[in-house]
Amino acid sequence: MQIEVLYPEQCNLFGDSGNIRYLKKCLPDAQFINTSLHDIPAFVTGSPDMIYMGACTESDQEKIIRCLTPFKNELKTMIDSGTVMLFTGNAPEVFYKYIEKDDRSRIECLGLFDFYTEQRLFERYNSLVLAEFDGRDIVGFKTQFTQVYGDNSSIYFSKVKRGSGINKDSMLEGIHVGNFFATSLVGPFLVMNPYFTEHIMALLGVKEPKCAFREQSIKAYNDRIEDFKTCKCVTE
Amino acid sequence: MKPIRFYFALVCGKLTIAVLKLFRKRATNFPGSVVLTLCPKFLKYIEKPGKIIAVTGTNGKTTVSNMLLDILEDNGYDCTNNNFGGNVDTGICAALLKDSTVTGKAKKKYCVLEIDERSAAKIYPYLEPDILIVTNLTRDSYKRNAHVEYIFSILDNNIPDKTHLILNADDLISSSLKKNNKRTTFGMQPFEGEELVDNIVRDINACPVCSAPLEYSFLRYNHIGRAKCSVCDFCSPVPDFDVTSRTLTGDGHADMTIAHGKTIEKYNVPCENTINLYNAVAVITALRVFGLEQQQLEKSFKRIQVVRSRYDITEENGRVLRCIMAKGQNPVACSHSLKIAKDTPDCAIILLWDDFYDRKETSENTAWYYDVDFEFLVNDNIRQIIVAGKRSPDLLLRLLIAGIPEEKIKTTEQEADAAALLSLESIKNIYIFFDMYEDQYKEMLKVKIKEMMKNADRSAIP
Repeated sequence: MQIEVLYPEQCNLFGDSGNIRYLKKCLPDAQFINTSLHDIPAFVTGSPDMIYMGACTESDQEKIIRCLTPFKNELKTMIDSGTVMLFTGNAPEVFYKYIEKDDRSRIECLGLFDFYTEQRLFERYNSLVLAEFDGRDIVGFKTQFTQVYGDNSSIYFSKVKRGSGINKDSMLEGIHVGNFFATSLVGPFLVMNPYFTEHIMALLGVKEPKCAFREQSIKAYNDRIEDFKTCKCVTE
Repeated sequence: MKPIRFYFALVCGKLTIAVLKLFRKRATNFPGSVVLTLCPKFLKYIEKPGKIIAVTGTNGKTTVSNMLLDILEDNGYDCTNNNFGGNVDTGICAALLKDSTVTGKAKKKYCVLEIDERSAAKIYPYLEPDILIVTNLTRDSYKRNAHVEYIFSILDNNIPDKTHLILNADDLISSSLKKNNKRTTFGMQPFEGEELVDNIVRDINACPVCSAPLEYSFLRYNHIGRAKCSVCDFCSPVPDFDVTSRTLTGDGHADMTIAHGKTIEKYNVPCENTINLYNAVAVITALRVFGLEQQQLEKSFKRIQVVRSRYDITEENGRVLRCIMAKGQNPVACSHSLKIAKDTPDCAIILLWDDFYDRKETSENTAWYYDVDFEFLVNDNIRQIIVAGKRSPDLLLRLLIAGIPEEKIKTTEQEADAAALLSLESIKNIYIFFDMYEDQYKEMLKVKIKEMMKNADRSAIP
């Protein structure tokens, strides 16, 4: 099993590198391929079973868009063919149509999904999110300068119970198409959501998947759900 | 012409200070909040001292400011300062207000200010430091500071053009600030026998000019070191004040040799760890630029101490307890703490790293755990790790992912119960690592553990 990690030197903000560290414990036999900005991605030269990318700075995001633009057809094919893909933090924005900056200028993105991003560097948005995916609770955090706009009512990733979705007024978070998962939740998303991690493991062909440190992970997950249900402040 | 509201705010601010004094309350930001509420541009109108030295950066601001102030005062300079702890606009206003006359004139000629880097846009348009030390820029609280590039842009857009910058040449990020400003840089060459650390987090990996990979000649911690681009001519600046050697003298001090142009300067400084040595050389560089002579600095270093509130040691009956504070949610500072324990023999660690304020209002974002080098604790010498606080299940998971055997870890959600989980058998060194807002629990545990150390079997010490 091959898992390609796109641009880990840049896409490691907000604890997102924890996702891969945890996945390595969950899938000890998997081969992890780190792709750097100057490399040709492994999904172009081969066919990894999963692709992951995490959060990065705004300027690195622009570099990554430039790096991936020549390969957008290959990415589209991977999405259509059901390759497992997980994009967290601001990584999904790369796949949308454009990013509108403070001065209203636009950065053209890959355009694979009909959404756009508003980036406001003086409006930091922090929120916790309690949502539901596939009958299970999803917990996570948002810490971002962006809000995403577009209709994800038929392709959302999770239905929000507390917090917000793709933008402050939405209760539908992220995108889920086939095995493509895009969420703006940051940090150790897979560590915090053991059942979702097992869902990903199952998609990768693991029979009766059991995530690493399952008992401790589920205890932390259940504690967090209780916390999220009862805490006073959701958004800052 | 200053507006009436400025004078009104000034009078109210002075009255607030008088009332606080009357009730024997500690000096705080509060008078600053009062004046800024009444006159939002108060900082613009209040007269500033003639010479301002300011300190900013992610880590080391307080230590550097205190050291600067101690040395300047030791040399007869009476300085306005904000070492009571307010480094945002309200704290700066409170400090200037306290040392102003009833008409808003500055009472003192000199000023040392610690300035929060995130507050740059509110402060520098109205207060122009003559000298500004930037200690370093590394990742900090995600919620507030986002990422280093964001803080860099805030500083780069707001630091006044005329300010003389004192920059860390070993930090490729902060040393690139305000390219056209006058600057003096400091750095430290790798020392003989020094252990260089490869951390999880490195905030600059690629050349900021051409994005090609960087080649480091040495990497001291995180991204602090010296590098050049593998393709273009971007590289670390050559330090104007370059520490070429340091010898630990065993009394908490270090002898440092600094190459400055063609001259060699020697100092005995009251600190020994890498972070504080960087702080000391930043202070030396700034004060040499300010105009103090080497001899003046040398004499003052003999008389001052680095503030110990962040680090205290208790020895009892053959065992040693060290309490080390680190800003929670700051992965670089917390990794430094863990590195201190990394090679300490026969060691037990208590972690009190919950964010007290987050816990009261919301649910703490623990993503920062995954940027902290808990992997440093995967050593045989680390015999017990006790995690205390509401987030202990999350920290337990992080420690397991780091590779620490579960049998070494104990958890409790109540900080006060941590001492009861500690066993002193086979333990010589105990560390309490605590967040700045967990001080009350640290004190409570310190008392309990000291008592345990007093009554423990000395022969069980390895």
